[in-house]
Amino acid sequence: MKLYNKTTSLRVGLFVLIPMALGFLMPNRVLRLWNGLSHTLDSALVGRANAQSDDGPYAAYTEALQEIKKEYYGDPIDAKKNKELTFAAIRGMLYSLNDPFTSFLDPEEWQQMRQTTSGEFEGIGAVLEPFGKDVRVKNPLPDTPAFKAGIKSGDIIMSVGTHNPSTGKLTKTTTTLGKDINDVVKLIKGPRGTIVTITVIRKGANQPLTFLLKRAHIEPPIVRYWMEDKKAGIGHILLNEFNEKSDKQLDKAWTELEKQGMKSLIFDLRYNPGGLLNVAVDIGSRFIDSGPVVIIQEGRGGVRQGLKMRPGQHTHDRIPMVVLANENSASASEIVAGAIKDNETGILMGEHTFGKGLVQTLFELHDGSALRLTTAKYFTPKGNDISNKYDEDHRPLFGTGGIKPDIEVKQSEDWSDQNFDDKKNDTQLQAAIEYLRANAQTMSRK
Amino acid sequence: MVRPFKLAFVSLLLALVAWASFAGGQRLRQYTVGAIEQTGTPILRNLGAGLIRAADTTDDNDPAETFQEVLRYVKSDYVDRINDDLKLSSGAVKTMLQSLDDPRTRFMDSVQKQQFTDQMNGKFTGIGTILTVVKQKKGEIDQRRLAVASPVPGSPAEKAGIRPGDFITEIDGHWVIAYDPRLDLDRLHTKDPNNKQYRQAWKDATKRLTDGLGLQKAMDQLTGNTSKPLAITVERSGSPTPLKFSIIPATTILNPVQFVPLNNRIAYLRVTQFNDEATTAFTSALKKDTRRLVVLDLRDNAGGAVVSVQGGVYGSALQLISSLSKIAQAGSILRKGNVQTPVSAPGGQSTYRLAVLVNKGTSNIAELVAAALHDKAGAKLIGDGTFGDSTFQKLIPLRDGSAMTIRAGKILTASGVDFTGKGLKPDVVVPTGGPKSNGDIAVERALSALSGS
Repeated sequence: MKLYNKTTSLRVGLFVLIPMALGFLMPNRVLRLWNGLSHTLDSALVGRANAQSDDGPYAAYTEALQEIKKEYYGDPIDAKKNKELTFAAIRGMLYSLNDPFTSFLDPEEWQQMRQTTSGEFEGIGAVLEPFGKDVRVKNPLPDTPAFKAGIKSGDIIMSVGTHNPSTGKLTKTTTTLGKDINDVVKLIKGPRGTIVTITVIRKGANQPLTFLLKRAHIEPPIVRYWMEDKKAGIGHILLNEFNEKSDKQLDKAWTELEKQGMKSLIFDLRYNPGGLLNVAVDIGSRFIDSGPVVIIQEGRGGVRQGLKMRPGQHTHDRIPMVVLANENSASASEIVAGAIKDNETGILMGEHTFGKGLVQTLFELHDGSALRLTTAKYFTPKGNDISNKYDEDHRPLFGTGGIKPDIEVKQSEDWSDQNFDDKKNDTQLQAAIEYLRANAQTMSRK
Repeated sequence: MVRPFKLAFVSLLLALVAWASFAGGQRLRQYTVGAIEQTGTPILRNLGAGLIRAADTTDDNDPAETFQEVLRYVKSDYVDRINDDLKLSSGAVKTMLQSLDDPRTRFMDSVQKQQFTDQMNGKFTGIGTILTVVKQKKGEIDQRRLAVASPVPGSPAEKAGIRPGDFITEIDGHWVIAYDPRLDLDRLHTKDPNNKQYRQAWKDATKRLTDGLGLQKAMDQLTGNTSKPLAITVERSGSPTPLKFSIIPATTILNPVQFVPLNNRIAYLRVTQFNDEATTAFTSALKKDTRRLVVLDLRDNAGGAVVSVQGGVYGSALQLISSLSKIAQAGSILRKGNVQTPVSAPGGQSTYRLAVLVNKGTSNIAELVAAALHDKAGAKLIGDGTFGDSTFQKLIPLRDGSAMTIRAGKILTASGVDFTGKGLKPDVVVPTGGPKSNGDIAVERALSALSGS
């Protein structure tokens, strides 16, 4: 097996398999953050520059920009506008590749993405959502200032008090009713250790409640786990995404469930949009005995290279397993699901997976913006390409890619979407439990 | 002790998962939206853009270098070989122009450019309409609606009864996307993403969007060179219900000028389009004829984009003014930086007594001509109020065979009036569509106006 050269291995560590959008996509506000990046990105910035500057696209862009500057009857093209136009041109150029995973991140977006690596951020730990014209707390995250102070789901943010970062003195109170969620978030977030005052309207309380909070480092959890059936020893691990914390948390969850008598496992990858490649390999290694977890091929007819299973990951006894997936299980989720399916070490249940067999590399650019570019494809251990085809409008043609489940189970219409606590209506979960009750005994370890 | 904590922990986790994955699930739709709206750009906006200080936006970096850098990486590292530079170029220019959010500034690929040029020369494929995009508010929502500036005389659209100002809302059952219909959901009481009714409404609105036709696609369908009948739904002011038409597309060759003596004193001159062919035709017709009273019919003359000041639409319009009057300054154009440049006619010696017929389809440079003759040569305007499009639009060919149109200024009338959106008010109001061979009331009114003088 060919060894990676330095550049390759460095970049492999930095592949971003799929962006995870955090935030709400509401009709009038499209908010997104990227996630799933390595912390060490700065060191990965690959600088290769050899294309000609008088290439067609550059000449076309320059020519059109000059005409706009000369002729356009509208706001004058100042430096800011010039940048906006150029960034639009870059986005348009990338858009023409008809690859929804390739994109440009302007300096602000890029910085935001880096800051939100692994979902970590500094603030009070309340997830907000728009509510009518206002903004309310969707939920406070556990062990955060918001949670500890007693801020509750449904609290409507009425005002936010800003404090002087050094003296802690209240400097300004801003009414947030009717404000855009962006602006409210902007007021609330801030460096750890600083103070913010939040006043909320709570249903049932006869007056607004005020909380004085010290901002902290927030690290949202990635893994959930519990026993589905204690008698039958069926455990359930739900993995939300693939970031640096995922494997460790998964390991811990597994250990906990073993203590509770787990004899078979439901490994839930539904709605898991992916994350880092190396994490997918780490986690995939836990479920197969040998061979590659995934096969990578860098662009333009490059050599296919298997990323081998890491034996050090075999820290638990393998037990009968059902993997739950659906069409929102993408990228790294599909690597793991594909490895399990090809190695027949678990039963894949649910729906066809998303179908993203592409790997992106992030390139930081000189002005602080970044390019997320599809640079490689991947294949399952058996060599299957799982990429969807796309129509001319970049709409994925579902079913043209993805991984087919061993046992197809459609989700019930009654299931309250993505509410994993709604077990009664979760047809897929019920099917997995039934399957393990009936077959765990006879499922052979491979 | 442990249990309540765990419960809380689990439910919080759940909420987080639900929250994060809800957003994740929307990601694709977002791309989809970008695609069909033809913004060409996957929309990226930050949650709390200000949380983190944005990188210096007033720096000295030349963004052009960023463009080059991106291009280099695309060429050296993209997973597939790039075989088509033109595709990258078009994508770049198209989206850059779209970012100005100005329907009159847009990119045309070589095929669209050819079609545009054909139209200016009087050759129309498809149903035969000159189309325009009109910005219109729907409550707080900005709409961009596809409107008919004028049906081409003799075209299938005109014969079917399409009128200037008609909004085309559906083609073959597909909605012509005027805005993101999910914006309507704001009007619902709940914005809770977990509310079933809301989610259904969101899904329906998204479907409406994904099934819809972007403006460029809609235009392409209406101007396409086919003969397959198109079912078109039109919204017309004054009509309470949408109107439905089935129109068989066909190529229309427009004869831009018609000259007919009406009696021994009065001639009828119709100019439907300004182009070089029109100039030749009306110049020679007027030269040969001795009648000094002219009914100038500018109904359904939609004006057009300027290619050069000497020829084309602009040159033709100015030549018409000079052939009919002594007007030296036909109007002016407000250019970039509010610089006002006069529009000079070549300068004629003729003195005709004029009645000018206008209607809702009289637009753009045709409005400039009508206003000049009215303000400076005593012509009576007869008919309906005009369209009110004052855009001075330039067509700029690009080196790679594509082209761009650009909003390069605003036309002001000879008296300095800005007629944007308002149009010109006729002296004699006669509701009128296009010309009729028999019983054209507007022509009759023009005749009597001129005869009585």
